[in-house]
Amino acid sequence: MKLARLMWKNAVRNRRRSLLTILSIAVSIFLVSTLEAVLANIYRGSQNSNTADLRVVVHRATSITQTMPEAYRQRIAALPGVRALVGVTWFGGQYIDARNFFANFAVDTDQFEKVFDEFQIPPDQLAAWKNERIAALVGAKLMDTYHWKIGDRITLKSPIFGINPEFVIRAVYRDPQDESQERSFYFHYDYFDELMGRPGQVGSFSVKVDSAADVPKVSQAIDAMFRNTAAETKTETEQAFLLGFVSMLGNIKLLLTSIAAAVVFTILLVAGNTMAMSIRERTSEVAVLKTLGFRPRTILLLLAGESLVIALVGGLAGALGAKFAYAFIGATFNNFKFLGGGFALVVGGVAGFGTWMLFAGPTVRGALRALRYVATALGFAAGVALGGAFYMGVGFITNQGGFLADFGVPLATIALCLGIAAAVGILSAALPAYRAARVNIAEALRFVG
Amino acid sequence: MMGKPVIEIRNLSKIFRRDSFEVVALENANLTVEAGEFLCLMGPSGSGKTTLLNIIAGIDRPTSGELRVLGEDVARLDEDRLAAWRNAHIGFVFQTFNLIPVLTAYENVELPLLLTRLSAAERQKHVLAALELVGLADRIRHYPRQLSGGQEQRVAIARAIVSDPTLLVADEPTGDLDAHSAEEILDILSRLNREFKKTIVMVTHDPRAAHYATVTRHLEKGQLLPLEPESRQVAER
Repeated sequence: MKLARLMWKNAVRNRRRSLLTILSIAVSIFLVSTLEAVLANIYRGSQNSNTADLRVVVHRATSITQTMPEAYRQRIAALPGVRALVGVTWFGGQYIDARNFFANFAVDTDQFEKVFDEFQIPPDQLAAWKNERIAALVGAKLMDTYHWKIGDRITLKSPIFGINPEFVIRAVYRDPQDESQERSFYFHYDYFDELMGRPGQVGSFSVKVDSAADVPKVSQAIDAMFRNTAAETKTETEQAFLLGFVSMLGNIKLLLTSIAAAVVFTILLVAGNTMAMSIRERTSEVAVLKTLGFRPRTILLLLAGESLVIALVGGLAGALGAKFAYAFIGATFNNFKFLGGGFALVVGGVAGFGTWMLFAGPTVRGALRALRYVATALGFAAGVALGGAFYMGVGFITNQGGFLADFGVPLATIALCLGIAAAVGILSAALPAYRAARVNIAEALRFVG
Repeated sequence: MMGKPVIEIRNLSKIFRRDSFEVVALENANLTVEAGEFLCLMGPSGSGKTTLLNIIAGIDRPTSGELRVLGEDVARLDEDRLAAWRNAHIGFVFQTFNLIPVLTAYENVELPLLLTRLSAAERQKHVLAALELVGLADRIRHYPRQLSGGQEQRVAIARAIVSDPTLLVADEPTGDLDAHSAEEILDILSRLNREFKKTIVMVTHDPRAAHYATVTRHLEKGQLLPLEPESRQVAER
């Protein structure tokens, strides 16, 4: 396109203004991608894999925190359509202290691999786990976080049950479909029940059914079987069960979406103001272009395109910056924490550069020049501190289990953010560009004097 | 001797409305410009000469009266057609040059051609020819701020003639220039008139400028004064 060159030259004509606009859009889009990625990651666990579709979870109808008799297991297993089942009890154990949080469960080991068939466990390790009473099966990611090896002895303290059992790691599982699942710790229910004095209580049952058609049939049959007992059950798909956990966080989707919307609205104002200023300064130039035969719609295209270029560059920098930043933290936090220093320096560099550009211009001399150096140094220092804190904070949160485990920015979120940036670019230029395109040439030329 | 008129104006008026009062910028003007003429419009500030020029060039519209430029009833063209018409037939030269500061001399001259169907190679041929004609073939990569005022105005003339328009309009083309540069610009315009048979309408305050014209008309308070017989002169060779 012949006009692309003019569009580009206009976009970079005021370097300071364009760079600052790009930077503010980039930072905003970084925040928006983070918020959107948090949402995507929270709901990810409940939306993956087909194997989970054939799994239902049986828990107490009153609350997932209450338990039911272990004896339910035989009765459920006898129902038609049930392929296998495992009792799963949330142990809530802490490793060393409360800051080391990860999911750990007491489970029935005999049919474990049939119910959680998406897990990949080497057969010899699986056998070793099943054959030893205090053996534990641990996710590969969790192994990595704590630098554990097979054969290590681990003590977990459970404030819920008031016991501190010791385990020995005998097996490691992987989940190729969703690596964030590799953060749990499974051990023998028998061992747990014995330590507790054999109360015979289980938190929930994970039941694998034969076919999709069996999901509702089996669910209804289970709940009907235990109706009017002391421990009534509620059976639902694993997806619905996990969404129930998410809903315990409150209406987080609305909250995060509103924050993201507010951020987008703010960049729209900033970018709109900048474009209005930038276009207004060029009123006489636009009049000259019109004089030369540029039609109003060509002018509109030229100005909106210029704004779009700026917004997309900012959007791309923000979204890819977010993707890279979280991937970098995830990859280095466990074993190469010192690289967080490099991360902090990069953030400091961006902040320092932004401050430097803020004070750019031919009139920067004398005291103003000194101020520029001081401000840039402060900007850099603040950026380094912020970057370091960000690295440690994000690293800590995403290396634990839970909803933000292995937090990352999905491609869909990047695409969404680029769409938002494009919309901001076009909308911010729309009104000033429309005005400029309709300007009366004779009057606009009088601007020149 | 004269060909068919390039500009025919009958009873042309232009009234600007500012809130509640009206300003008569041009009143019942009558004017005929023949092909190949170099018309100089003179008059004090506010006499309506720039208004007349703008209306002829299709960047302003008359309030009443008849107007034909190059056989076209310009006042009746819609915005898009008028833009295309200006692009094809009119070359503009402004007092303040009005080059686009972020574009090189070459790119500025190329601007009007971006709206045509010419290929890049054809555009290049035209641009270089136009810059050659104004004597700036060695300055094509320079930005306006790297050029002197006279050079900027020469680039602007190159931009005005690059699409080979029939009619050139110039609004105080020497107003911002020193005497030497002004002379250069007038020489170029005069050459375009004589050698390339361009019809030129030029608004100016500068009495020397009038010297280059074949016809000079005076305006005063929106009135086009009658043509004095001796003012139609033969351009000097």
